[in-house]
Amino acid sequence: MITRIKILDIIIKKLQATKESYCGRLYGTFIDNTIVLLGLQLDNNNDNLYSVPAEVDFYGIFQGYSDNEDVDEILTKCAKIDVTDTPVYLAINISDSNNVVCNIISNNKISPIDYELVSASDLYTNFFHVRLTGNLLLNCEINEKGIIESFLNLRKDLVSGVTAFKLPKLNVILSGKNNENDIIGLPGDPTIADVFESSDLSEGNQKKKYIEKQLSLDVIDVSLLRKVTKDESSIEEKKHAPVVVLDKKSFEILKLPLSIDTLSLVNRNSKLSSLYNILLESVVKNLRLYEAELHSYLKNNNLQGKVGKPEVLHFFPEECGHFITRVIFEQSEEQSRRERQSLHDLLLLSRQYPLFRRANRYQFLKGNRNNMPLINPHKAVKATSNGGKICLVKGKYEYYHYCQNKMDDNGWGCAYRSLQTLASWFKLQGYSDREVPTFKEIQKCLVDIGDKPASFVDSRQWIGSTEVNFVLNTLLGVTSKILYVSSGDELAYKGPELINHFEQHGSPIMIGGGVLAHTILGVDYNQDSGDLKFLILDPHYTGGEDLNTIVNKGWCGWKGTDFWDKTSYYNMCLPQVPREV
Amino acid sequence: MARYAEGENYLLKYITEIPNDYKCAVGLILGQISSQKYHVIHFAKTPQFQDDENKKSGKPLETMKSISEVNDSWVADHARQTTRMLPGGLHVLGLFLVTDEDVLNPFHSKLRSLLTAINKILGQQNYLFGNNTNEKLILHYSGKNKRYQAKTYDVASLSVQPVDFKFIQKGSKWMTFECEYEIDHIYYLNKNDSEGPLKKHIKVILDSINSKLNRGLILFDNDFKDVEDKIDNLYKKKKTARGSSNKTVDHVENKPILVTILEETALHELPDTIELINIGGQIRIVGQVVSKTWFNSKTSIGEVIQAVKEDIMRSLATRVDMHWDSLTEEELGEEINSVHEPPRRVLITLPECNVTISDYLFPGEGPEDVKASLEELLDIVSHGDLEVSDLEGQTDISQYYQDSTGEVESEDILPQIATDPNKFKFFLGLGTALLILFISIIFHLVGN
Repeated sequence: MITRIKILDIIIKKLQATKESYCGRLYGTFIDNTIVLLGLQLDNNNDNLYSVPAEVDFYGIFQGYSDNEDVDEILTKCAKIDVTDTPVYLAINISDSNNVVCNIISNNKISPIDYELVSASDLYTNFFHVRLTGNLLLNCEINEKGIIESFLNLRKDLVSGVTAFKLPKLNVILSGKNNENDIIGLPGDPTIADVFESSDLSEGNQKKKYIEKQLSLDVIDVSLLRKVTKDESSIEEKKHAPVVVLDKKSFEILKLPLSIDTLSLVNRNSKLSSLYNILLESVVKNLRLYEAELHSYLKNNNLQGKVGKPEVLHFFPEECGHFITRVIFEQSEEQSRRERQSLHDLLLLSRQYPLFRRANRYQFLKGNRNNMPLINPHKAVKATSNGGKICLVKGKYEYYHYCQNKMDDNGWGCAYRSLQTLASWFKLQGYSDREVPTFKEIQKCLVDIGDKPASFVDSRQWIGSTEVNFVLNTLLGVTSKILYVSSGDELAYKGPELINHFEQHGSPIMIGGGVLAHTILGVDYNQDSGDLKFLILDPHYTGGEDLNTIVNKGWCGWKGTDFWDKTSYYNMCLPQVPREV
Repeated sequence: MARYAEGENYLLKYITEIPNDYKCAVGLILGQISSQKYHVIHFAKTPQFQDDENKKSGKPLETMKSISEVNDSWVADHARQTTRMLPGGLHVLGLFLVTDEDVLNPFHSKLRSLLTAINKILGQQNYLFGNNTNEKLILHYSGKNKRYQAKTYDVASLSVQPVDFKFIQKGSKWMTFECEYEIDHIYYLNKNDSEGPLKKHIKVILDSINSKLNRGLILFDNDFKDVEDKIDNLYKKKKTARGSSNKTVDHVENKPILVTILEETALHELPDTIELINIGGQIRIVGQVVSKTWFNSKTSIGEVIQAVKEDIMRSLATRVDMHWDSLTEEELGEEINSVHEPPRRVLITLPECNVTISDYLFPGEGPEDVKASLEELLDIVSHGDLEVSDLEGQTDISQYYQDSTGEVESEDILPQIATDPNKFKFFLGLGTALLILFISIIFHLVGN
């Protein structure tokens, strides 16, 4: 049967945008006789394979060329790919405006093949992400040999038949026995989709209800179990009654806590029983990642005093198209920044904004998100018809408005809410690790910097764009540009400046005038007619988190210049965004 | 709170024959409480007591004439040592008394002090799980009027209650649960804490094993069971499939039910920091504990889970205790690398009721060596017809010898603190607190 190829659209876009003759490898997975390419990395010494979910592997290479392709080199590289007999080769002709041609390699021959472009949201509807967590403790002698040996032993131990997995919400256990009964708690061997779609347990389901246009991933939680009694699947070794071995050798030992936290990408239609080996692979992958990071950490750092335990974080940059899992040791900001930079470079990602800071981590839903602020409600807003250049906020923000978290700020809290929306943007973009400040924190901050008297805390006094600027600067270290206009009419002429802000910075803007505060999420500027429209997020909304109401009643929507009060002056706070990763 | 007790006729036969030889005797009632009922499986007459002085001077044993002559601590120690042999879920339920005195109406003060002593000693020891209730069962039999009567006595509230004790032809069914629990636990000795008795460190390790066990997830025949369910449902309810199940379990009655214990690794607490420690050595406990437990069919799954955990801990604690007791001062000093080999568990089928109890054999001992303790503690005289399963296996010590010296090319030598069967000395008797005092010989492996 002929293998089909699907390629995630952003891969092709990224390759078309390259300016040098890059070469690298393509990540993919295999489903229904189709190779699905969903990521890429440059060829260098860093192998990032332990950072991608289990079941994602190298399925091909890409190479930019300007004159002639080096066929031998391509064949040699492809020969190293062992998960498929027909690896994919994407050829990028630099001299022909980066035209990308998809080839398949079979029997040492390169032949062009058609491919289908898919979007991330279409692609991931075919998959579940399974997130496996558990705790392990590694003890090793603190030298290279000791570390390698200990990790090796731990991996050997885990694959020796003692590992089992539990689907906590279902009370189902997958044990590694090689017979039919290795699913405990469920009859037969259903597909993964059968098990999870009906039960409404995967976390994507709730999200879909109110944010249609956003990429939603179905994530299943699984926990790591260890069998401590013998059964048929145990590898037979010589058994004996417990003995106590006392070894009085003194040496230095490293106790490394390992929070296992690892992802697998699984076909919805796979049988549940097939999950066992995939999960086992994902633990092993996670351990290898830990080991690699530990080695590289010890090259640059001394383990002195208390060093916090390494942290596992998952990232899903939309620019990347797949999950990247990082194991992060406590180290200097400079080292972390260098690591992030090289990761950006490796994955051909822009260094203009952060994607792999702690705050960028993927937020797995813990329970119900129904009462949480909506993310990016403007994605559901109908397009404008101004025919101009549209520039919108980049990335994600949370919609803060009146009366959230059981607080009645109706009539005075609108600028606070707009400030919270701005702060959420900085958090969700990864610039700040800080949670969105509460009203009290905002007020206290203004008192602390001497802008307001102590009585301001817990008062119901409103704030304006100047205060918003102060707080963003003090709590988040963000500087803002302040734009003044003397009347609502004058706002109509701010098109170029606002376009520039959204292009360069992409952060939401807080605008205050008279007694009202709003958030500007974007503009539609028609250069020919001079017409300007504003995408407004209105903090005066007092209802629940209902996207339909918010969009249909215009709490988030496009407004003309007549939205502004002609007799009032306005101040805008434009948060400036640093260019760093 | 149990008000009913039952036992099979062999027990009645045992107790009614005692007056042929003894005017007054006391002994232990062994069994299980489930669904408000005492299920008695065995009576074990306490051996005659003789103090050290009389023993030395070679005086013959004097038979007791009255209950007031019973030595409390002697009987209590009998209860403690017998409990060590019982699988989890079985207990010393109380005492039987054979005497023509009227001891139950009114409740004899000697009985109160005896039962209090037993309750105390059974409650003292960690991981013995000797008392599952403060209420003790007493059965009195008088050879003169050939009548028996039973009561319970609550050592906490001091209240005495009547019990309806019935001897029947065939008691209710027992179900068996089996598992092999594997231990591989490494404990690091802090540099400044590496001295001091090994015993102390082992206690910490036992605590840690116990807490892991307590958080374990338990499956029966590879399936989840509701803790409220009664175990006889394990046989009755076959997998009437939800959908197309191929899980039809052919349960042969009396086939043991496999217990699987799983640890949720997420429940293991991890330190918040990477630790770098200078250690003064390490202790590794490695091996398997074979567990076989027996339950009346009306027992709940929850009770079985608890009892299986208790069985494993009781067995582990018993064997390390026996091991320490067998060592000399120097051996306990643990200044040297060594492999300690505590005795292994063997299972002995009680002749009358099929339930298995445990005995512990030191390295080099074989099944024939269980005879003595069986006779001493359980009053079972065997004629070579005992069914003994020696399942746990003995260690090939050299494997650990290589582990700890082979690769580090250490100069250390690893003596094995265990065994030379020819040099065993047994003190079969209850005068000392030891079941068996085992003097081990340090066996240097120099040049091996």
